[in-house]
Amino acid sequence: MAANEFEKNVRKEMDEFKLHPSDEVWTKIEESIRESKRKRRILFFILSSLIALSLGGYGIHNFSDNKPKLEAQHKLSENNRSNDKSNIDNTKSKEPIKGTITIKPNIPLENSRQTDKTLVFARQKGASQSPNKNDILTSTSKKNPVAKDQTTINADESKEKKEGITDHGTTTISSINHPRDIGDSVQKVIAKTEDKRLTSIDTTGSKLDPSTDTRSVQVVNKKKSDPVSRKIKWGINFSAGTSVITEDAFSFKSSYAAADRQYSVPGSSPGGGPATGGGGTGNPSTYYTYSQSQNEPAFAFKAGVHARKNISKRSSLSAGLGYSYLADRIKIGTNQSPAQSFSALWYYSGSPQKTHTDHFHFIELPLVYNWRVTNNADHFLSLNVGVAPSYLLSTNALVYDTTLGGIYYYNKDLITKFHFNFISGISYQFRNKKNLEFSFGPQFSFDVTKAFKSDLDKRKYILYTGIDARVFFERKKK
Amino acid sequence: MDFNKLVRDCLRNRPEAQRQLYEHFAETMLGVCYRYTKSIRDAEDILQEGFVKVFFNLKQYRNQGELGAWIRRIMVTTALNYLKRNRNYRDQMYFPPEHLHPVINEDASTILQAKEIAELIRQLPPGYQTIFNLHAIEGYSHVEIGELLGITDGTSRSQYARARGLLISWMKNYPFDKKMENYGGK
Repeated sequence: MAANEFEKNVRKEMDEFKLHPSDEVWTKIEESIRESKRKRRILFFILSSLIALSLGGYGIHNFSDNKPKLEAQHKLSENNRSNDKSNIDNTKSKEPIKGTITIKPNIPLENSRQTDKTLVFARQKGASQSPNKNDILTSTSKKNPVAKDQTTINADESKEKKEGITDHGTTTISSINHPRDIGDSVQKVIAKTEDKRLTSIDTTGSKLDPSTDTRSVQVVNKKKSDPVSRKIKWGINFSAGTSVITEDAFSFKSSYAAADRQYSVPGSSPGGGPATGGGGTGNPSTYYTYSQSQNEPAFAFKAGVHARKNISKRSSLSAGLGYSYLADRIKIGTNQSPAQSFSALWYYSGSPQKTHTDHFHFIELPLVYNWRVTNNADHFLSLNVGVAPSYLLSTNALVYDTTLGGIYYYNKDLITKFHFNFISGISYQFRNKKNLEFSFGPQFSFDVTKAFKSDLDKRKYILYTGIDARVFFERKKK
Repeated sequence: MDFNKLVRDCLRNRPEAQRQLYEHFAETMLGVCYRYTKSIRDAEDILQEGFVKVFFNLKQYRNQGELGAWIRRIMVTTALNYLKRNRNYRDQMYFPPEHLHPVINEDASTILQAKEIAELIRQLPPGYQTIFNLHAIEGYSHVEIGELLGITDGTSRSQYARARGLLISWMKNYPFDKKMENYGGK
């Protein structure tokens, strides 16, 4: 029992053992939490942006491809109907079912440059003839150099007969490995009609005679020419959102955490309790300590003109001149009479009860690099990153100081005039029938210059988030 | 204090709730951390690390069991990780396979105060100290201690018996004599 008694006693004593940690511990915990939240937020932002971009790109890609494909099919069906009227010689083939049908495409002159590839469309012919049960699209240029300008169709007509395909059967091939432009989507559509007398030849590589064994197939290349226009486009932009002054650069959080701490000035007691201090007068007097209030986001907007120039197929640079109105809301005390010992003409102190909006009027010169994420040049997603030096025209911002137990006062000398911002955003851009280009999307502007020169004010970097809308004007050709 | 509400508020990232939770448990938990270390600075480091873990993993606490016990378990785990990570402790925490030592059934009436007992525990060599803390105070079995520290339960038993014997002898001779103060644990 003695053995257990010892452990019991020690455990009992130790359960009551307490030590008071230093204040530094909580400060570090708080910082760790804040830092981790910031990292999580950034990670979340990046991940959500990637997901949004992927979904958007996928949707746009599909959306942009379907319509032309259908149009092309329609066109080709019509063409093939007319081709069906002509007699197609199939006498050369003794086994028309097993043969490969060679079709000479009617390639429009303007597209001939891009259709120097040959397509083979092999349809399933049963296990003995083709192990691949699916339609295969390959280039025949290796197998049969003669057929370079032909489209070869390996068709299983017997199957079609079984299935009773009689009219307007169309097969669409979409894929092209065009060596010149892999990224662009090229749609080639081959319409195959119900004609059962298709010209057939041996598949083993016998020479093809395009003049006799072909039927016309319209190969429509929907590839956008999309030349890189080097012209400068002018436009206007307007953006509306919110702004707040954060404690950390590239952070989305206001300086609440810091503001929550009570500031202790020499001679004062923390926690808002009464303290003695003379405020420099030499005579001790009683005053209260008021920590810096929590700042909150306020409405903000930006407007300006800009010019954009393409620098490659997918990227462009835009520069402009803009005005930006940024703001930040704080809680302040009551207006006090001018203090003799203080340089400010007037100041606010006491219990925070009034909302004050700091207005900042900037003129800025944004320079933004835009990178087109999606293929389609008519409507696409664009990633935008850039910089924007700006100059503060005017402000009514109040600066916090711990003097006299915590006051807000106006001192323009403590407010930084020149600022430097990093801009990032995503925009969706599209063009209307009048050739006007529009773009809109979220925009973030991170100020990396401290807003206030005083370190006593925990607010440091102005953050702007908003929706940016732009219109680009095309110059009319003379 | 309504801990359920406090936890909910902490999960909503309310700084004042987090502060409240910290202030409620910080002193007790620092006492726990203090027993595993040789300096108050190290104990505070563990406390800080432990509370960061508490706030990040609070959603795993589903109001089952006592919140204090849950936090305490995190502190102990954090302390063990700290000892393993910190070279000063790691180098001294060796657990040689020893013959079993019978638990001495001496009546060591603990007339000492908590602070004094804690100081005596901290005078033990790190290996003894850790095992004594885990078994005598936290209530871990020797098998569990073996799993936690990567040793056999026999080694744990043996180390514990030695630690216990040392403590009892120190308690009897309290206040410290020179011999105990210079004990290097070798």
